[in-house]
Amino acid sequence: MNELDSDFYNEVIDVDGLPDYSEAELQPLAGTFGRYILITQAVYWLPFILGALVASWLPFISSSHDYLLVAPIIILALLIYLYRLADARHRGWALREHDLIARSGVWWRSVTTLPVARIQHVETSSGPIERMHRLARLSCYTAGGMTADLVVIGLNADTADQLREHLLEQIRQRDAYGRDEDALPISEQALEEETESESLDFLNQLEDQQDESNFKQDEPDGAPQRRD
Amino acid sequence: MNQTARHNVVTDSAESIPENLQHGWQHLPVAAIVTLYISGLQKFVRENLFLFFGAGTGFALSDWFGLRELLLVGGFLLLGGLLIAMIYHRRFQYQVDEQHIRVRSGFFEQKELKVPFERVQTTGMSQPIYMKPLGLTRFTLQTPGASITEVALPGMPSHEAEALRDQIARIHNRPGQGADADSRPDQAENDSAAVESTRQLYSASNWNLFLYGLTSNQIWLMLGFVIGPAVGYLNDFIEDYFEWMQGLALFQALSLYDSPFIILLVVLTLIGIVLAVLMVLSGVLAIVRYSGYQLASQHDGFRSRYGFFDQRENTLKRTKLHSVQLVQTAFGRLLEQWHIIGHQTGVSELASLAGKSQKFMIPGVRNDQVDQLARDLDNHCGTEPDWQVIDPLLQRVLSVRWSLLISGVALLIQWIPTDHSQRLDVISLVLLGLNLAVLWMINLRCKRWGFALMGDVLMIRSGMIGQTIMRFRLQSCQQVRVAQSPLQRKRSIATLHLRLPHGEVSIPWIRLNQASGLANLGLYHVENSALHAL
Repeated sequence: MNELDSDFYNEVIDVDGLPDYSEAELQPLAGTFGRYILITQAVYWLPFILGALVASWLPFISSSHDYLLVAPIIILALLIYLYRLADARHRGWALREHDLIARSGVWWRSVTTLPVARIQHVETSSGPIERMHRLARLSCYTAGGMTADLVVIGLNADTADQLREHLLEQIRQRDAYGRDEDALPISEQALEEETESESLDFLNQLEDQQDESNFKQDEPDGAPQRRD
Repeated sequence: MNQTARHNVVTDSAESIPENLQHGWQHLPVAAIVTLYISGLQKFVRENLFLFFGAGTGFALSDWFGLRELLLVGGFLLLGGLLIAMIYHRRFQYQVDEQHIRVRSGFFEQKELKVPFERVQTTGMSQPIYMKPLGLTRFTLQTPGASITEVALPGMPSHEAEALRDQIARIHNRPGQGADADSRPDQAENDSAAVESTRQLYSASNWNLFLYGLTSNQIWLMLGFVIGPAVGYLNDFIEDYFEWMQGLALFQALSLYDSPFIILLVVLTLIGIVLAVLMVLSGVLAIVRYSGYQLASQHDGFRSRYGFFDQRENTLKRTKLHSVQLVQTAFGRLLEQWHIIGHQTGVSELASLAGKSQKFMIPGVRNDQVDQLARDLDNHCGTEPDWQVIDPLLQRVLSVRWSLLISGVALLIQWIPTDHSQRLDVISLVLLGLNLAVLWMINLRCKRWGFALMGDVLMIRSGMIGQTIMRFRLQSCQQVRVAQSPLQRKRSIATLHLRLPHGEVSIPWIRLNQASGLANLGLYHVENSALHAL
């Protein structure tokens, strides 16, 4: 059709022989995540419960039905806590050689796979309560999107850091390899070569700390791990 | 950006730059003030349309705001706009060297952008009619990336813009750029070389463009704009009309207000007339907008050229075209019309919501052309697609869900305590009729949904009466998600969501093994072409 055809080849792919994302053994969230949910829920609902308790002291509300205000709030809080626990139990993640897999949802479940080749930027973040429990979130961004495209919550902080550095290293290698292609995203900061090489040095420093052997998935053994 | 950057010296190796671009930092030509002024005014009016309506109403209603005040305010705005355009022109500078373009702009805070030509994804030139006598062209560059997607030079001399476009195209053509800087062919040779490698793919006749205008969905949008204010006038008009009719001897015997059918007939006729006028208008607008549409394939991409008042030229790199969307609206199906949209990397959903993206649009494609054109675009010479359908369970689920909802509402209405129980019966009957219509629509939609895999090209078809086919190579996926509801889990069915650079496409309710097979295949293609990162 045109000059592209000269180096065109088209092998038949054995679809059934491809690595199956659903056979990857998923890691559960960190053990302290349950306590984290409990504390965040308590912090969230405490003002409501206190408010309901105080309200019954007010002169214009008859005090004979205190529980009518407090009980629904406690029940709702409890239900939401249970839901979040179940949600945490169904979540899972796995890092394969070429992609990151995350499963979520209690009733409506989904498994999201984000190829490392498409990740532009990775960040870990944690709030004060998460830090208390040594937890962190890992957010992966792809090109074009404004919001994070894949967020894995409830990771052990060390695991999250290692994951981030592993992924950054992969991105760095990819970009270095495809420099004369269009692998690097253009941005106002990265336009000057000096800053670019500085950031590369920084990445190199990070590289020393990483230990990626923990995260490589071995050959999947046995049935796909599914709960329930 | 800062003082040191301001005194930047141009590189010495500026041999391959057209002569007039070699002088370091440049201003746009003085005539560009006119174009800046006009486009600024256009933008101001467009963005403050509601304000203008409000001002118009206020002007009509209030006494103290007279003609004098209006002229004063208007004059002030016009003069202020001119001042802004002049300052903008003064602050706007650009510099072109062998590999980069730098643009400095900004009103209060000066920004400097440096774009390497090899990063440029598409170039666009547009010439609104008021720029033509001034010999100016608006030149735009698009680069992938979330923050800056477009660099615009509003009002370059046309020959400079063309030279710049050719220069960028040349850099894209040779991988080891800069090596043969002194053996640069001059303009004429370059043009002939470009002509040689350019192949005409498609051109649209005015009749096809007119049909495209008729069938494009923008008519419903226009209808919304027109119907709102028109209803008031229509009402007045109908009442006048009836008074006039009742004045006629023939109709004196009839009491028209008691015969609903005639009223209905008149209203329907009027709506029909408005619709017909709008359709013709829409067709004519399409001709004006896409007049003389030409699509050509170049060595590394495509170039489209069109426009009557506002002449545009867009280029698109082949590697940046990640999916091709074939659209046939419901009317389009009757008239055998399609249009094709080329989606590019780096033009995000957000940008297209903000109306910023330049969709690569091919209007007015006939039934017999669409297949070949789509193949030319994604460079895939496949066979006829073998369409796989989605699971019939979805139709049942949707039908039951909607029927329950509608009949629930119908039952609830029966319970409303009122004296006019007959009217409630009528409403319930209408609802049941609606239910049948909904069931029919669900049936059409589920039958239309399908997908086909041809090599590494996946096609997803959806629609009801019309249809949309999205074709893309699996390696352009950004993310793969397999989702299951409780019912889907029970039946081993799943919905596959594929994130493409411009947004998400899904195949609903296919068998789990199909979904995970496609997901695995997609991941395989993405991860095998890791170098070709989007």
